[in-house]
Amino acid sequence: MPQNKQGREIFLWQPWLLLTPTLITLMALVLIPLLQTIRLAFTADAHGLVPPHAGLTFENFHLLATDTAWWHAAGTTILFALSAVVVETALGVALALLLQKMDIRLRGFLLAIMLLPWAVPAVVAARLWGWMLNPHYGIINAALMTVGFIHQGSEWTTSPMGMLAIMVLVDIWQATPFMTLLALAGLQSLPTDTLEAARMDGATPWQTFRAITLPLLWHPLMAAALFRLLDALRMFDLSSVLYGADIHGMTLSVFVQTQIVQFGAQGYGAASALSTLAIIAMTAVLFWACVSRLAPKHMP
Amino acid sequence: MKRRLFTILFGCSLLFAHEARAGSLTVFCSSSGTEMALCQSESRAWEKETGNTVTLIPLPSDWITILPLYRQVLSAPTAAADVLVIDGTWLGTLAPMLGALEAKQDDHDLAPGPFFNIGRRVAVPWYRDVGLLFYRQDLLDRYHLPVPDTWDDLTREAHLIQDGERTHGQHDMWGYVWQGRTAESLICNALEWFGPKGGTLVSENGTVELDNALAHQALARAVGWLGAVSPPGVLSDDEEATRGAFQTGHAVFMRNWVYAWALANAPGSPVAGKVGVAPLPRVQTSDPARGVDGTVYLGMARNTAHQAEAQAFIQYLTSASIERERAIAGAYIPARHALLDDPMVRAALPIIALIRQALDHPVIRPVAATGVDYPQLAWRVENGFHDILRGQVTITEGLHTLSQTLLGMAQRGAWCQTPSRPNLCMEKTQ
Repeated sequence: MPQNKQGREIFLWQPWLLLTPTLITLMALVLIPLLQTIRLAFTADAHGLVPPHAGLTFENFHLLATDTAWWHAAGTTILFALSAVVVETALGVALALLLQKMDIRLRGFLLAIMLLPWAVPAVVAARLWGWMLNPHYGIINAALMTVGFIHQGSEWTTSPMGMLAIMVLVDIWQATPFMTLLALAGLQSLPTDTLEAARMDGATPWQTFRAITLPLLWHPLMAAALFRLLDALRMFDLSSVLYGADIHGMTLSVFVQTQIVQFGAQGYGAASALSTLAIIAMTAVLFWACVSRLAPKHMP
Repeated sequence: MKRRLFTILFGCSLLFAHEARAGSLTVFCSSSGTEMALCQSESRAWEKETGNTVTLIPLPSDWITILPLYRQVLSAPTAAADVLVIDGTWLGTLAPMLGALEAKQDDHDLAPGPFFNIGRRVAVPWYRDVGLLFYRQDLLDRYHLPVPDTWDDLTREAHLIQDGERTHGQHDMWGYVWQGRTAESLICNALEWFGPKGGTLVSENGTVELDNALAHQALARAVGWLGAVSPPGVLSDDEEATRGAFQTGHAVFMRNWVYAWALANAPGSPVAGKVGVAPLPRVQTSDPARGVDGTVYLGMARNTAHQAEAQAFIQYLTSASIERERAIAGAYIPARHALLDDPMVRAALPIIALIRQALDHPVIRPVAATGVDYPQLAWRVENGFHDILRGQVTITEGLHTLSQTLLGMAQRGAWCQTPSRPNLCMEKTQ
C-alpha cells in the first residue's frame, strides 16, 4: 500500500475521489455537449433541411460539402486568421525590439498605451470600427473628404476582399499589442552574454537579429502565434457585428451560430460545428509543421 | 451586448420559472414606447373585463434576436409565455410550435387572412405594414413631374431631378434610395421590382419561380441604378439608413415602410411638409400597384396552460374596437378590411387613402409554401441578390445558381411540389 510523507496510507481510489467533482463538472460542460453535437450531426435535422432519418446519416456532411456558403466561410476564416497572425507577429516583434531599446519608464508608459486596444472588448471594437467606416457618417470618410483624398463617401465593405481586409486590419489594430507584449517578454529573457559577445565580435544589429535573437526567440514566439491563430480561427465578434448575415464576410463561427440560432437547423449546425473543429485543428497542425520547418538556424 | 445579455438572462429565468397562476397570462409585447403603452392599457382593460391577469414581457428591440428567443420559449415543456407577437416571416418556422386558435365568424374581414398550418389556424393578423414609395413633392412640383407610375418612370424622373439639383449646387443629391443590405428587406425590394409576373421566389404550391425573364429585367434595372441614381453605398443600407438619407434631404425617392411617413413629417424633420407617399411603381401600367406585406400576427404557444384565456385575449386584441383604438392612438394600420373604410380610422390615418391600393394587393413572401425552411431560404436569396447587385456574378449566372439552390431545398424540404399530394405544403412543417 503506498504511503504519503506522513506515513498515512493512500488508497488507490483516493485521488479519483478527489478528482470526481472536477471530472463531473468537465463532463457536464464539455463531454456531454460534444457527444450531443456528434449525435445531432449524424442524425436527423429537425428543421427540414434534411429529411428525418431513423438511423445514422451522413446527409448533413454531404450537404455541407456542396454548400458554397460553407466553403466561403472556411476560406474567409483561414485567410483572415493566417494573414492577421502573420502581420501581428511581425509587427509585434518589430515593436518589441523598439521598446526594448527604450528607457524602462518610457517603455512602461508606451506599453500601457499600446495595450489599450487589447483591453477593448471585441464586440465594442467591431461596433466602433463599423461606425468609423460608415459611408454616410463615418469619421474616416469625413477625414478623407476634408483633406481631399476622396470626393464622396467611400463604401469600404462592398467587395468581399474589402470586407476581409477590414476585418484583418481591425484585428491587427487590436491584437498586435498582445504579440508585442509576448515578444518583449521573450526578448528580455534572451541571454545578454551571447548578444554582448556578438556585439564585441563586430556583428551588425541585423546580423545579431538574424543569427541570435530570432533563432532564440523563435519557439516562444511561434507558441504565442499559435495561440493567436487558434483565437483568430474561432473569431465571431468582428464578422457578426460588421457584416451580419453577409456570406462574404462570414467566418465559420458565425456560420455555425446562424444555422443553429437563426435557422434552428440543429443537425446541419452540429455538422458544421464539427467540421469547423476539424478545419481549425488542421490549420493549426499545418501552421505548426510549417513554422517548425522554417525555424531559423542558430548561426555560428 | 446588453440586448444579448437580456435575452440570455431572460431565457435562463424562463427555464426556472414557476408555472403561472391559473387565469394569469404571460404576453410578449414590443418594447417600443407607443406599442408597450398600448399593450399596457389594453391588458388593463381586459383584466378589468375578465378578472384575469396579464404579465407583459418586453421583447428585445433588436427584432433579429426574437426568433431564436421564441424557439427557446416554445420548445420548453410548459410554455413560459402564452401569447406571442409574430413577424409574418417567422410564421412558417414557428407554426408547428403554435397552438390552434378557433375560427371566428368575422375571419373573412381579416386581411391578410389568418395563418394556417396543417389545417390549424395558428396565427391571426394584428396590424399591417406594406412597402411604399416616399417622394419629395416639392421637387416633383419644381420639375413639373407626376408621381412615377412604373419603375422606368421612376428611373427617368430620378435622373432628371438628381441632375437638375446637382447643377444647382446640391452635389450630394441622389435619385432613389432603397434597402440593399444583405437582409430580409432586400428580398422585399426585389419582389416589388419583379412585379406580379416575376413571381415571389416560390409559388403558393411550392414551385420555385425565380429564374425568369422578368426577374432578370428587374435586377438589371436595379444594377443600372447603382452609382447612377442610387448611391453605391445603398448596398449596405437598411431602412433607417435610407430614411436618414431621405429625411436629411439627400434623396428624391425612397422605398420604405409605413413608419417613415410620421417621422419624415415630424416637426423637427428637414423635409416635413414636402413629402408625399404612394404605392410603389409597377413594371407595367396594367399591373396592380403592390408592395410587400409586413403584417404582424398574434399567436398562442402550443403548450400553454391557459388556452382559453390566451385565445380570448388574442380575440380581444384583434377585435375591431381595439384595432380601431390602436389605429387612432398609435397609427397602427388595422388588419381588418372594414376598418380601412371606418371614418374615425380614416380621419386619424389619412395615409390609408393614399396607399389603399398597395394594402389591397400585398405581395406575400413564400412563408407558407416553404414552412420551416423560410429563414434559411431568405438568407441564401438575400446573399444571392446581393452578389448580383455588387457584380460578383452576372444576373443570368446568379439567378440560375440561386434557382438551383432553391430547387435542392424544395426537394429536401418537400415544398409541396408533388401534385398528387396537395396537402404536402402543410405537412412538411410537422
